[in-house]
Amino acid sequence: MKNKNLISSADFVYRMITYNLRIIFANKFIWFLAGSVLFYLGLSVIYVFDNDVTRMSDLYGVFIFSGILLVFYPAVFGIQNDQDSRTIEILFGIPDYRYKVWLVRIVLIFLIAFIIMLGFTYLSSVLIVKFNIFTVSAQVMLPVLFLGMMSFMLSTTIRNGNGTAVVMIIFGLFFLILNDPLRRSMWNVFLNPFRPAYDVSETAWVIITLKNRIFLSVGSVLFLLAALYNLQKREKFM
Amino acid sequence: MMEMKDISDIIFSTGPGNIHRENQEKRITVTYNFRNEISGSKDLLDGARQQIESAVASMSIPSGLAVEVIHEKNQLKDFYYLIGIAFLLIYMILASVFESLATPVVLMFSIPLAALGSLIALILTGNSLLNANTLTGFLILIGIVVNNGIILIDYTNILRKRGNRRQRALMTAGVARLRPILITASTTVIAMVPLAMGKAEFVSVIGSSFAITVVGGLTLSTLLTLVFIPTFYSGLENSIGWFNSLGWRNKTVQIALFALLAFIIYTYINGFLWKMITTILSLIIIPAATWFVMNSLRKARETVIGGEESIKIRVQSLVKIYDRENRWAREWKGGARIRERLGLSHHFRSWSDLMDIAWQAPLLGFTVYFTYFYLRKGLWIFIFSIISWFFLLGIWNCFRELFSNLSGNGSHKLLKKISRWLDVAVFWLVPLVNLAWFQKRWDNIVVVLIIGFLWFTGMFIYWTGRKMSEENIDIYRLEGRFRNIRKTVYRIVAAVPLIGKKKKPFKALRCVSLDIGNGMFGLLGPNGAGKTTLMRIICGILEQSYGKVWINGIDTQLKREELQGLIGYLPQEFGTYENMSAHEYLHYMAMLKKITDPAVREERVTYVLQAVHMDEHRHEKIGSYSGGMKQRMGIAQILLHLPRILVVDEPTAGLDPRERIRFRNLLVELSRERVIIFSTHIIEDISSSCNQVAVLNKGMLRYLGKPIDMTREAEGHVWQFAMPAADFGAFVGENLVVHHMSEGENVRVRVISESSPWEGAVKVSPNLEDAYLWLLRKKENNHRITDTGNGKKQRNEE
Repeated sequence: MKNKNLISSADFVYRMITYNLRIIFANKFIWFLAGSVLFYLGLSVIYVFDNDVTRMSDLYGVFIFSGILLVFYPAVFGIQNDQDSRTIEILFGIPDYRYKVWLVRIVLIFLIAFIIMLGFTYLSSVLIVKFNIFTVSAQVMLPVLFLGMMSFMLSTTIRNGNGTAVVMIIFGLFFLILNDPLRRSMWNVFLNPFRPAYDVSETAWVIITLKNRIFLSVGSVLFLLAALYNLQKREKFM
Repeated sequence: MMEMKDISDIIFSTGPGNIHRENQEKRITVTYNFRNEISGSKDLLDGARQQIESAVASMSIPSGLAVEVIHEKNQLKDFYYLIGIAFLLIYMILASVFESLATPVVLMFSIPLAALGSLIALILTGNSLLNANTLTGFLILIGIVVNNGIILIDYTNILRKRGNRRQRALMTAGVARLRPILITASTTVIAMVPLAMGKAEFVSVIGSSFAITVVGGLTLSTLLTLVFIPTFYSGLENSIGWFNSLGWRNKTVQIALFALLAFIIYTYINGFLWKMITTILSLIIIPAATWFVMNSLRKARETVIGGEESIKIRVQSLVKIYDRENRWAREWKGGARIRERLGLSHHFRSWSDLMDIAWQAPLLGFTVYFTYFYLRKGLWIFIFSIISWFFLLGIWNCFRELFSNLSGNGSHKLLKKISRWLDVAVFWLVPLVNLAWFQKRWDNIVVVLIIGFLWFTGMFIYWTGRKMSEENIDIYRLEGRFRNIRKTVYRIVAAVPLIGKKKKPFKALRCVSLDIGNGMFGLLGPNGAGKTTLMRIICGILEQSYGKVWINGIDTQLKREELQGLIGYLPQEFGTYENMSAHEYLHYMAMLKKITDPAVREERVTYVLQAVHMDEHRHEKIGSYSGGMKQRMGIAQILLHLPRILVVDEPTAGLDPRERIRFRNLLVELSRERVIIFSTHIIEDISSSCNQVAVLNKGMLRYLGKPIDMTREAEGHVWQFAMPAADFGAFVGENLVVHHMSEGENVRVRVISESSPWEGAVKVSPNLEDAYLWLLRKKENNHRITDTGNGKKQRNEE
């Protein structure tokens, strides 16, 4: 009996993942995936040929932007795609649609992004410079998670994929511009934990990095809750 | 005359310019600063302080000298202590007078507002923020600003004791106490203004910064008191009520979390002010976060209505208005309309009417002086010049109304011309003058151009939006030159929120009331009648504007998420995931509807595919299906897991007659144990399957009752006769012809009419279609449909 339940649950999870991937991977996502891979490969090659000494900390930026490209399309255009295909009204009729449909999809997106990130880091670790792929992947995924959840929340507020994309690009540029002035601040979204600021002691840097990671995690959770709250206001999506 | 060096030896040496003495002993002060990242962390700060102390301790100090290490030299520490005591004393007095622990918190909320006002005023006027002057002013301010809240809340409590509801008491107290609050505040402010306007920061002991603190704090606090204090009073009571309504487990967790946070704040946060701020923030954030999490994570519960209870849906006075204004705009305009109705609103029909706004003239003068002559900082000059411009626009609107009224009857043509020129000048030229003045002050053409571009773009969007609303411009039916460019511009303007084109509200449902029980309930009506709107409101897709929907006594507005487990909805227009096959799509839908067992799911999917005759196409992609097949897919997905309320919006559209009849029969069978709300254009579907039918037209309920009784509505109004074919053309344009058939030179017609439409016309028995057409043909009036108890509805005049 127990085995049967286990098999039944495994089948359920497997099918849920495959069906949602069919929905998420439809249409344009494959282009963003290709773009992310090309971006990673291109930048890595350029970096290797440009620099005499290769450091893992310099590859952090490459990983982050590849990760952002992976989550950008599904997080920003997920709601819009359902609106365009007119499935949104049917989904609203499903009890707890917010969790069963969109929470599952957003979690799946980040899981897929993490797996692909492990692939990228493994390649870099083997071909360029050796490092711990799990540590680096986990560290890279935090700002990606923050920006991805922010995009998702904005997509439920703006309810238009193109509008959300524009706003997220503006925010992204804003955070990028602040990267240097906030180089030793816990509020820096693009803080590189593997490259301490030159004018900060090691102890202080560890504390700053820890606070920064807490800020990114808490922010991600808040964005997710806000998005789930926005998804209750069904009329605005019609 | 002799030189000093001739009569003395001059020795040049260096020494301190000032010698400080304390208790007759010389003293020098050596200061040190930590870097930002050290100050940011308590651990690093403690470590650094210890290093300083050990460095000083290891120094060899000559005898006769004493060294003291002081970590936070704060000359103003005493003031914080005094402010803290003031807070405590005020709280004690207010708590004992109002006999409440919560009310003093509400009243003392004016103090942070006052602090904000003081801060803004000090920044605006370029004074330093923390010195003895400003803190003395703040000490005095604490006692003054709570007066406004006390006046308001005291009277509110009196009114509540007399039996008034909280909202009514607050509004009445606000209206009654506005005058004394404004008088007391303005006398204090005006008395302080001469000292505040002085240029010296210090005039003997106190100076302008003291007066600016009091003026700024009292002004902002008074203005915001009238809005924030009643809101906070009401909100705090709601919050405390909500907190008390929570279970003991929830309360314990929150209190424990607060205690933990308080411990963390005490241990890790340094600085008394930060400790206080973070403690207050924790006190607010923990319940707020609990509420947010509880609301974000509400789940559907099928058990919200017991399995044995039969479902009854009551729709009560439902109104739905699309594109109506938001709540704030509605309340504001509602107040304006009440004033208009009571004849209290200002209208400017003669020059003497301007006396009503005469008080604004000196205020405008002061604003202009303050903005263009007093302020120094660039940012505040910019902000206040915008404020002055809006103020000027407000005054000009009154003058424009006056000029328009004076020149309305054709007289004062010159006034009309002047009015148009002044309109252009105030709206377009004043901003230009402002920009020129910015350039003169700042000498930075780039910034001025950017500001100018943004300002004029905003003005252009507002002006175009207003023009589109007033002239009712239809973007898609433009004519004339540059059609395409104008269309693009109008589309962009219409998309801009707030200042773009105002949407016109449209009433889709007008006070619809009906009761729905078990069985098939048919909704009939032409396109745009409001059937889909009504169904969407029942399903919770849309929110009603007014009215209520009750399901077994449960208000759907309060328990919407929980009730979603009971309702299944098939919309009129829907899509599917076209890259999936029917098999995959239905499996996915079944999993979303909690059919977790794979065998049960497969059986269910097979059953529904057979029910809609799609079994042979199950592995083909949905994208390859025809319209009718996609419609059947929609029906299939709703049959997967049959909830207790099924709402289907024109499900038979696109189906061939055979499929339509099969589906109808299936629904009738299902309706034995559940409520099925079914909308259609096809009369036969209603007559052959529905227990009850409601006819909607233009948002109003025209008929509610049994289909068989509906035919009686048209009794005596259906006529049949033959007429010459030559006259038929003219006749059909003026009468409601149901159908006609040629019979040689004549045409046999069936007509719906109040009275005999043709000589020799014979009354015939109406059928359901005739009754439907008759109901739709009736003129709109304020008739209410009520249940007479015998299954028939009759109209009552209002």
